[in-house]
Amino acid sequence: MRRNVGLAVFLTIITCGIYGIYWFIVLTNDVGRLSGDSSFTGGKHFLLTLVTCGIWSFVWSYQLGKNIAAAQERLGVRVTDNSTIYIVLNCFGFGIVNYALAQNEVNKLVE
Amino acid sequence: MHLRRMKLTNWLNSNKHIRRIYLPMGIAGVGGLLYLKVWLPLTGIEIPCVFREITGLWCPGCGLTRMVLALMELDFLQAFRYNMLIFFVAPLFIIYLWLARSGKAKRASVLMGIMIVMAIVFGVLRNIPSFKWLAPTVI
Repeated sequence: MRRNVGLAVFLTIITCGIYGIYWFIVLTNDVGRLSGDSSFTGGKHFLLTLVTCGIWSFVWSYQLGKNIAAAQERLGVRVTDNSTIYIVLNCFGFGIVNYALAQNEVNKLVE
Repeated sequence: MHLRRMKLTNWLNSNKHIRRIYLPMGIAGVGGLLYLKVWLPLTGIEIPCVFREITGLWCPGCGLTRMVLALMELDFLQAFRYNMLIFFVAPLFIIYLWLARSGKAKRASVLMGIMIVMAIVFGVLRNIPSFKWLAPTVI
């Protein structure tokens, strides 16, 4: 689904991150649907992130990049594998930048 | 040597489930074991919980490393007291994976919702003084 990146970031900030949780889940579901990977679901990755004190978010970041690349390949557009960038950004606590970058890619794919 | 490597690559490519599931699980298992049994005793440097470092509160996953260490010594009661959530969520997660694989997507997502609620409620309760016994405790 197409989402306005700026609005989503704004909503995440003003809701103290609660919208960010929703965004994380629906964005992951969207990427999983686009790449055809039915095991890449938002609920599962959110739960695993919760019970591992956030460590799972690194696995999620990597898989997010790989799934976006798979979706791009599937739809016949230029493939950009940003999985390493997502992991690095996650290391420095810029998870929200990951959401924004991934949403930007999803927006391009659903156009 | 080159031929053997080629054979291994072909074998991995022809067994997709091994490459995608069992290989990462094996690497994670060996890595985890090295972290728990070699890195921690040698250095004592733990991967910190960012949530606890910033807020000072327990998160739903706090106590997980100590739980695994206690489980490795077959001290189930101590492991349970470090993080009891995992003892309830792990069997449910296996059921979830089974439901998702059998194509029962709706039931799987309901179960996932229940597990997320359990994790959030557990995370909140273990920071409330009356439910202090839910926080990681040494017995």
